[in-house]
This record gives sequence, structure tokens and C-alpha cells, in this order.
Amino acid sequence: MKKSLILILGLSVLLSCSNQNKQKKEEKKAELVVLTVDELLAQGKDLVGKEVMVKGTVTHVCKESGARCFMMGSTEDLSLRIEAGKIGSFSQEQMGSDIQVSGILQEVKLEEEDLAEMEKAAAAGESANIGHALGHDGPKLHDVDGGKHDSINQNKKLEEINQQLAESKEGYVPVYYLEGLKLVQQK
Amino acid sequence: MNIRKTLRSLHRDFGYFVVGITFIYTVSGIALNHRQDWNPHYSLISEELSVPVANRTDLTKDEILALLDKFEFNPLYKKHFVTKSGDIKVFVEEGTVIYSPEKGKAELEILKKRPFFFQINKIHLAQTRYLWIWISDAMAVFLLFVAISGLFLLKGKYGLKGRGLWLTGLGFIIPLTIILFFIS
Repeated sequence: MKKSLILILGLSVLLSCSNQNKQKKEEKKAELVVLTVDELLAQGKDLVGKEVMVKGTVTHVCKESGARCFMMGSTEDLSLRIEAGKIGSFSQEQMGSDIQVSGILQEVKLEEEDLAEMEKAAAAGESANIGHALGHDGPKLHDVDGGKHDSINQNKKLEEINQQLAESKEGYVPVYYLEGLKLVQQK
Repeated sequence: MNIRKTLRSLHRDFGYFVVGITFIYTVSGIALNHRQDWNPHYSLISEELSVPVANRTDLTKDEILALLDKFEFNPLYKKHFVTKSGDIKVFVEEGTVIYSPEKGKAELEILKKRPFFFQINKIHLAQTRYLWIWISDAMAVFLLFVAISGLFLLKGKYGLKGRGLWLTGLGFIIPLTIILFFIS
């Protein structure tokens, strides 16, 4: 009994010490400029791979497990996906709330082949949402929990992306998302 | 020092220690396994209203509040905006209302946390801050110890040289078969 207790306590102390060190390191990080979704998307190209802080209104939270949410800018078209990452998860209660999140900006490059694949999936009546490029998931994935409010018109979205690709000088459409690090503020 | 005796004591004590977490992981595991058939985290409440057809979307907050009052559920307003398709999306506590003035229809969807399941699923999926991740790692180590030490507790025909070997082998063969034949 004694041996078991000593082992259990020893391991717990070891783990809590390493956890505290990690938290202290995080606190030392320099303060970041808070960007709106519009500002972040406009500067996206230069910020990929860097830590950024963004604020906006949560318009959708993944219903299955809160693994990601979508934050809206000044219009419905300006939206940013935030993967919960180190935040843990988002909750349905955050829908419609203004939040401020820090994270690493990532980019998905949608090229012609990607769009062809997405269109093929859409034509077959399947989800064409590669890398959540079209926004949150389609209604099919929400069959078990209603999800009427989450319908996306993927054909219309694909049309828009095709248009953007035709106008693109780089030959791809960038889709930005944030790998969440910390939920700083919520109201 | 008798190794088998020490192993038995540790197996017993660690076994008691991991009962709680084993219960949480197994119950939430079953709940999450069937997520195609139900939402293990939230339960859905929906309500539909028929309202007079209108052609304006520039509703004030007071007008939206008046609309929300008509629902039996009595949702609490957070904010709203007009979508590209001309609907008004209203965020309310725990859900949304989609109001289509042109169709004269307002639909409410509320997602309520399933008590107990919501919390244990979060724990299972490690959707927490660091502390729980470390605790669950430690618990996993204890659980692994209980499993491995269990192999060496008995001697003879019920031990690892007899029945134990067959049953342990079967426990490996089942997941390996799935991996080999069904997971590319």
C-alpha cells in the first residue's frame, strides 16, 4: 500500500511541476496586436506561420465536439476558421459571442486540381468541403442533431472559389485558418 | 523480495485507483462510438413559428425581441445579422433562430448540453487545458501497468503459459484483424 501511494504521489508531483513550467513560459510571451477578422484576412499572406491575435463574433461551433469554430468579420463573406488546438474546445454557448483568440495562422492553398476534386464530390452529392475550405460542414453531417441552420450551399461556394481562382495571379486561392493557442477574452 | 508478491500488491492498488477513470473512458467511449446515431454532447430542441410574410430585413433589436417572445421556449437574445440569402440570423443563448421574412417563417434551434455525457466526453477527448492531459497520461500509464502486471500474476494452466496466452492472443488478434483487413 505504502509503495503504491508513494508511486502515485511521485508521478503526480512530477507531472504538475512540468505543467507549471509550461504555463510560466507561456506568460512570458510578448503581447500581440489584436486584429479584426477583416485585417487578418487582408494581411494573411504575410502572417502565415506566425502567432496572431484576432477578435470577432463566433458564428458557428462544430456541433460534434467543438473542435473548431468560425469567426465572422464585418460581412458574412469574411470568415475565419479557428481550430481549437491548445484551447481544448469551443462550446455552443459561444455562438454569437465576441471572442479574442491567439493562434498560429495557417494557409490551405486551393489549386485547380483541388477544385476539380471538390466539384466531383459535390456532383456525387457528397461533402466537397476539403480542409473546411467552404466553411463549416454541410447539413449531411448534422443529420443527427438537426443542423438546418448549418446548411451551406456548396455549389454556390464552389462557384465563388472558381471565380477567385480565375482572378488569382498566384494560381491558387488561399484559405486561412487559425491553429488556436489561447482564448483570451470572451463577452 | 518476492517480485510476484510485489506485483500483486501494485496490481491490486493501482487497479482500485483506475476504476473511476476506466468507468469514465468506457461509458463515454460507447457514447462517442455511436455519434453517427446521436449527438453525444448536446440534445436538440427545435421550434418553428409561422409569422406574417414581410419584405424588410432591417429589423431593430426590439422587433427581434418581439419575435423571440412568440417562441414557447423563450430564447434570450444575443445579437443578429442579415445573411446573404436575405434571412435574419439571430444568436440566442445556446442556439440560433433563422427568420425568413419572405417565407414568413422563423426556426429556433437550441442545443442543450447533455448532463454527465457532455463532461465525460470532454475528458475522454482531452478537450481541456493541460492539467487533465497530464493526469490522463498518468492514468494511462497506471492502466497499462495494471494490464501488463495482470499477465504475470498467475502461474500454471491459468497463467500466461496456458489459458492466459490464448486469451491474450485473442485480444491482440481482434484489433489486428480490423487493422489489416479494414483499415488501409
